[in-house]
Amino acid sequence: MIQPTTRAPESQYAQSGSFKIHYHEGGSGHPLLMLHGAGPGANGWGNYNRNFAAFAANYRTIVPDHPGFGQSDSVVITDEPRDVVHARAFKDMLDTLNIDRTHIVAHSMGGGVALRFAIEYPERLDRLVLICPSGGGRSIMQPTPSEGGKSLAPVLRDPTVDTLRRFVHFLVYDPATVPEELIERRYKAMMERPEHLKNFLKSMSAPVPVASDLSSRLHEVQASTLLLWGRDDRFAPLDHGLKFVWGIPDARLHIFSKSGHWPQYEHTLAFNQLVLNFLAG
Amino acid sequence: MATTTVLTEEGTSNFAQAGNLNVHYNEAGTGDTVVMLHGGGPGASGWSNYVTNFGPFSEHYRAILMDMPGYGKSDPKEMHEDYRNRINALALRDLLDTLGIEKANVIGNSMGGATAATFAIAYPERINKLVLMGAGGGGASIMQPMPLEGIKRIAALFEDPTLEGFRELIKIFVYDSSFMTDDLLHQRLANTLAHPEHLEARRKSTKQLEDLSPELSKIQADTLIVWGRDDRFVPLDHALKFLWSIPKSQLHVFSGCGHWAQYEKSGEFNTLVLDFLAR
Repeated sequence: MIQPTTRAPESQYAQSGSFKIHYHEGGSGHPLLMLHGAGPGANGWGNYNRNFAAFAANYRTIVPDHPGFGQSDSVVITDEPRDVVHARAFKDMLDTLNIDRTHIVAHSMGGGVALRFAIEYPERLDRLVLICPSGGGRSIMQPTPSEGGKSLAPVLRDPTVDTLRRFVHFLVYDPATVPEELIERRYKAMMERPEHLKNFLKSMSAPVPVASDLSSRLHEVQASTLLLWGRDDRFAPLDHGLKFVWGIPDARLHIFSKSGHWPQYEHTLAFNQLVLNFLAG
Repeated sequence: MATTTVLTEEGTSNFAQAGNLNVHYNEAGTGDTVVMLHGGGPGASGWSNYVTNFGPFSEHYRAILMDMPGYGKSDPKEMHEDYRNRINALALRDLLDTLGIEKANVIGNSMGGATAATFAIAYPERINKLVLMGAGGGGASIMQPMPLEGIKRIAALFEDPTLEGFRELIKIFVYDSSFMTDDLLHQRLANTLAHPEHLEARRKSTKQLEDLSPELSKIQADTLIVWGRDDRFVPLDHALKFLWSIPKSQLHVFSGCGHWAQYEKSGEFNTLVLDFLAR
């Protein structure tokens, strides 16, 4: 079992349009941006600490916190969809860091943001890796919202270790693989910025969907794309993996069995190898 | 990648007795064994099916391309007493016995995939890892009417092997058939017509592939399933059926890819499978 890299590189901040974005950076070479998923207490480091070292050994690896997450500025979504707002923030971040083009690895909500980025800013993107991304619209196989998706709001309304544990257990195939320390660490991170929870809840009642349905725009994705999915995902339905591999012109889809919504945590070694091979071309 | 001597069909060609069948195979490389089982179209052979994979695999493994019973230079075989996949799997076990190989990694495409899955079910102690590409044996599709257009073309071609028939087959066998030349079609036709005994045995056979769906959960081997999104011979939903049924499995789907993933996406395929076998 791969152990997480416990020490994150020193915190850095980049003014990205109207947001101050917090990030960790390590390694050198071609830039690689790793975007985390949503959920209370989520942040870049918590999401990718099992993967960071492998990627930083090969790339200039940048792991930011989304607006409204971790140590980045908070945000309330009002009239523009979240994926549009975040994609623009990361484009602005690349400008600030003087990065012309980057690979992107993105998970869940981050995947929806990365899809939007691929459509809006194709000249800034090299290769795209989407881990059970949002943005697929309705499922044709499962009722929406998903079981996991429904467990989100209860944490935002009543942020306790218990509600958070229930949410995190839906993320994985086997909850026994999630140590209690991870829940406690995430709970602590979540309670450091309670305004993020309030703002996310407020954003859910905005007149725009939580994640845009990008189904009809997948053909606009020019980047070579690798999709990764957990067969037993209880957040992003597996049929979205098929929808994306049919819709994105240059795509391949890899599905892990006995994996939930967090394959980079649950199948770390295979995940790292597949993604590094893909990025290397 | 290290440069190696170019492998030829003649230079790697071997025969062995497998039970009561004389079986032809190509072999190269040393180390753990990887057996590659080809698909069931007319004129198919281990060499023709795995021409872009044999070299790279032989750099790391003892790579064996087996001509299945009723194909290539192996003996003809009428299928009556059991399903084709079971008779093939038995022949593979007998070949491994003859060659003194205790355990092998088994890679199978289409009919070869059904054979490989059957081998994993029937002889679990003889298999390391299992790789299935567009594997047969999945039974009914829940998404497409069966038989699929490719299977219908294969059946017609066994009855009446013509150049035009091969042209139409190859067009739908792969996603992008621009590599297809008249030379290649003539070669395929010649390979088929060189063995009228195989065509005869196929016509007389009363059993083909069985539905392995209820058996798949018995597969203990670590399994990689590979599929072409645009497969017109075995439906993509079978990939999901295999993924849900085989306890330790993962699935890789290539877009812009038909029924011949190991050829159409050979670079990515070789890396993917070699990494999987090494893991």
